[in-house]
Amino acid sequence: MKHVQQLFLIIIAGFTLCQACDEPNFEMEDYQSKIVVDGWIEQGKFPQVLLTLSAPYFSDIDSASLRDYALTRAKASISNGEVSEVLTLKPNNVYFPPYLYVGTSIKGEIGKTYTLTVEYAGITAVATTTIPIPVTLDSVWFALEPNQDSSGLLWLKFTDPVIEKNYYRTLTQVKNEDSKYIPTYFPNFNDEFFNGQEISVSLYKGNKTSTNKEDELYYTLGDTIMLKATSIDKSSFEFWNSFQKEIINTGNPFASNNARVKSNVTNGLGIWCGYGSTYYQIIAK
Amino acid sequence: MARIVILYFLFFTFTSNLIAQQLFRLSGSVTDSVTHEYLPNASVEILELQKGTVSDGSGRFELELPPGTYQLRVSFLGYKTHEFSIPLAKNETLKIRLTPISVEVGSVTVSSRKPDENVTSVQAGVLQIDSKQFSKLPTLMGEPDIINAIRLTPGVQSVGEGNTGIYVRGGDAGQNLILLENMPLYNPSHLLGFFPVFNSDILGQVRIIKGGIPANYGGKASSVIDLAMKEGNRERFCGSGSIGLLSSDLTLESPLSKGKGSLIVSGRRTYLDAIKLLSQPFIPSSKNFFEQTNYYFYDGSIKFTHQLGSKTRLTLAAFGSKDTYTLTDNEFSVSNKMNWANIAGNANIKHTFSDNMAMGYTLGITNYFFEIDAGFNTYKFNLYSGVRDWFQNLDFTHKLTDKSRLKYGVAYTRHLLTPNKVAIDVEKVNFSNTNQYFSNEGSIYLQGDYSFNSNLSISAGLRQTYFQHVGPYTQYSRNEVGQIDDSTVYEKNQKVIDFLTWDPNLSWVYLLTNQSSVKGTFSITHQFIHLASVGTVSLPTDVWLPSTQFIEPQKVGLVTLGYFRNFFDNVVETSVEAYYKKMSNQIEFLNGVLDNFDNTKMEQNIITGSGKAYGIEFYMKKQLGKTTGSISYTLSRTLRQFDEINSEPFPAKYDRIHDLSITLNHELSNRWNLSAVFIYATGNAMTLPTGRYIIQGNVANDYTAVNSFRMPAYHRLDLSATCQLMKRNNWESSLIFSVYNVYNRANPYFIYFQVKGDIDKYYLSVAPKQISLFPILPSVTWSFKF
Repeated sequence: MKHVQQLFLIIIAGFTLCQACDEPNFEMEDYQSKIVVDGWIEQGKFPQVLLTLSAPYFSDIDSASLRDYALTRAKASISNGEVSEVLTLKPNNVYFPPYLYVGTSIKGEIGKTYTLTVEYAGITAVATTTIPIPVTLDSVWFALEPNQDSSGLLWLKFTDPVIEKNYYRTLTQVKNEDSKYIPTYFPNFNDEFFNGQEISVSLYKGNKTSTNKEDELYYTLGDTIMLKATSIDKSSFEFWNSFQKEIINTGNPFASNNARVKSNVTNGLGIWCGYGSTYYQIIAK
Repeated sequence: MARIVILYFLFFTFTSNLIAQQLFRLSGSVTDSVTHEYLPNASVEILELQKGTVSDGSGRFELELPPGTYQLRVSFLGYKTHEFSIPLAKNETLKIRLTPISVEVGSVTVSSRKPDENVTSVQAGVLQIDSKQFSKLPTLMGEPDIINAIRLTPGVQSVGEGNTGIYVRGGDAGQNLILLENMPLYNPSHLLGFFPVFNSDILGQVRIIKGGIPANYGGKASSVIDLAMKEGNRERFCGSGSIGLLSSDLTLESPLSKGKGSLIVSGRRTYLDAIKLLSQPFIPSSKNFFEQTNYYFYDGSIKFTHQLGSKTRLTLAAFGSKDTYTLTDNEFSVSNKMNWANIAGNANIKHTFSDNMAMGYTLGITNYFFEIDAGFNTYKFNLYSGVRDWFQNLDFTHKLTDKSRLKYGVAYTRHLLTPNKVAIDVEKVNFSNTNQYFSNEGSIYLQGDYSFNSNLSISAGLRQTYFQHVGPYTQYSRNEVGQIDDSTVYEKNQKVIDFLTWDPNLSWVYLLTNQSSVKGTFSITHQFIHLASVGTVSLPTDVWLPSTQFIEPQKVGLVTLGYFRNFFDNVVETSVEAYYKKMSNQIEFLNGVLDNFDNTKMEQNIITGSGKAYGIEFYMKKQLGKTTGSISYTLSRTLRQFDEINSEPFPAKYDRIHDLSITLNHELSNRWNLSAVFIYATGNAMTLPTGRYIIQGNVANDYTAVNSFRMPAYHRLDLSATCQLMKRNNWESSLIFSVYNVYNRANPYFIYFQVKGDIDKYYLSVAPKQISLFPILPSVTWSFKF
């Protein structure tokens, strides 16, 4: 489906006979900040949770105010239904904000459900996620695009399990280039059209951030690419899928304005996502 | 059903014969003495009896009078009034030819209606526009556009730039019944409304009904736009056309069978693609916009009329329009092609049984489709969406007495809707999915007009519709994880679900003086074929869906009350009209159209809600003299309530609080004619984020209320000047200079937000950006007539 969306964007761009880009003025009412969760748990790993507050839309954000939105005085805890653990705050220099809530005793297990509870300033935000069974890929390879000397895509082939509905999300990290795993371009897909079949999927390189849309869409010959192929649950998929549309479609008159990001966090925004992951390393040659 | 019609038929024929016994029939036709076109709505008065009638759509009139000698006065705005006396001792048929004033004093704005119709007609909220009238208005590329002319009238939203939708009294773009010569058309539009879809040279009379829709119209809930095609010249071969910067058109008319019939054919084509070819040597391909894109459209229409004996007339009409847009980008290996088209045709037979009774039968087909063919590397994609209707109507008009008139009939439409048909081919994996719905829509109606006395008249009617969704159809049910686990299969023509609806209407007029009246209307209408908009503007990609077990018929109730007053012997017309509209079972896509490719059944992506609209419309129009014009102002609100979108009622995206349009036309000299249009409208309602947050380095928006913000107001001034060139016996031509958006206002088309900075570098700023479509656009068009 991802190409369809891309095509639509191109069609839209072609249709738009842009006359001038002015900056209209809007007056905003008071905005009440909400707790924003960006957390994940993988099999065999401790949970990691980034907490921030949402900001009024037009407030300028610089390094000083950005740090104000980082939530460092919240109480975050996770539970696997049997035991629970309060997460501890640690500095990090990979993600924003530069503080990460991490666990030290509960590790992710396949098939289990985890509840995250965040308490801050009298507000309690709660989210639940499950780690689905990871899917093993049959093969992964890099292939140059037609008529290109050095640009190519990452391809993967796997067999979708018949029984349940499967949701996938793919992330890559180019060695010596990226400091973390970055979602590929249109990283979320499900088995609606290939349930139980063997399927080949091509992956375009994702943008590092939504603010930098000029990133190269292709992987380069010689790259060492780390692939994280994950299975996620339905509510996580719905979040990521709607989140991606939100980032792409905002303000686009050709897109419906009824869709909203489907958060799995009650009383807050964002995502608490369980990943059933498998890792691969590919040298682009 | 047939039995009921026959019973009606027998009953009314019988009763009317009783009434008509002592009277003679004076009938005839009114034509233009120069062009020999029939003149609808010409006034025919019997001075002695102070009674009269108006000619019908084909210029014919009928009166029943006791024997005697009468002084007749036949008048029509823009024509010399013709007065003569006639002895009536038997049934008489007259051919009356009126001489246009324009032949003597240069062109005059002509309105083909009775001078005092604004005040006296029983229908409130009905506007008639003559093609000659709107042809004078300034236009985007010098091409007269009836849809834009309609948008300048009160109660119809004025702004259509980049949006082909018509929004009438809070109704949405899919609630208008657009009839071209009795053929219903779905989404008739060219690219973003840039070009008019109907060639003005073929249009005769245009009627817009905004309230109290008579029962002979059905199927759409908010309004009727009834466009009649002009009849071909019966006396001589003639034609007209225009050559513009981007498109040209030609219309030809010819008599057939020695004046017993006529033919009118018209065609138009754009040549943006030719401009591309011409520009290639001069503009390097990397900078040439046309290198990657190509757009063209053509449209055409034809109408054939033939008199079969004195009482029967056959009309065949067809209309077609097709737009093609292609985009290729070799760098990204992208190619895609979009087509959308309207094709419709019908045959109509009109038969006059007796002095008081006539019948019309129409059989036809209308087809609308939209198609995308796209390729991206090894990925192939095809999307098709369309509507096909086979329709037939049988209508009777029946004059019972001078004070009462009946219309009744039956209608049947077979709908085939294909909201989406998708074929995807990725690396040998093929996927295809077709959503198709067959339905039957049958109606029976009765509409009666009655004058209680010279002051009070009413028109009331009832339309009953039976709608059926039938097979072949497969209904799927899903398990908890969303996979299909069961299905029910319906055979061909097996009923899936049906609906029975009643649509009553009532209009009344009370004349206070001969220059002022009070009018009111009430109506309930249902709609079975729904338009689901994919975006915030009306696009050819909008999808038509039928009523199914998931989508109930839309229902719209409307009440209006108005005061109408003419001044200076009907030269100036004014009116104030208030309306209140309640809508239920309105539909919206929950997610964008992008999600529809994935769905096995599109209706699962549909949510239903309700709405209401209310407003007050002010209208003033001067229709005679060297300077003519109109001022139309509407103060209104349109609200929607969809539980899935917002818990509170919210403004519809096309909610317009203020909507003002002013048109002005001035006859400077015999050669020069100047005209101007000014529009002011409250900005569109839009949803804006109130907050934002960061996930994995991406900035996302947080929304609190739907459509709670407004775009900046829309306003625009257009000017045009028409210069009459040489004028000989059968040849005249003129140059039309027009300037669109004179003061180059950057009106907002849409607003998006640009996020700058890099979260990793701890700096972000968000700025709203506005996209506007058309800057100041001058154009020149040469038009001719022979």
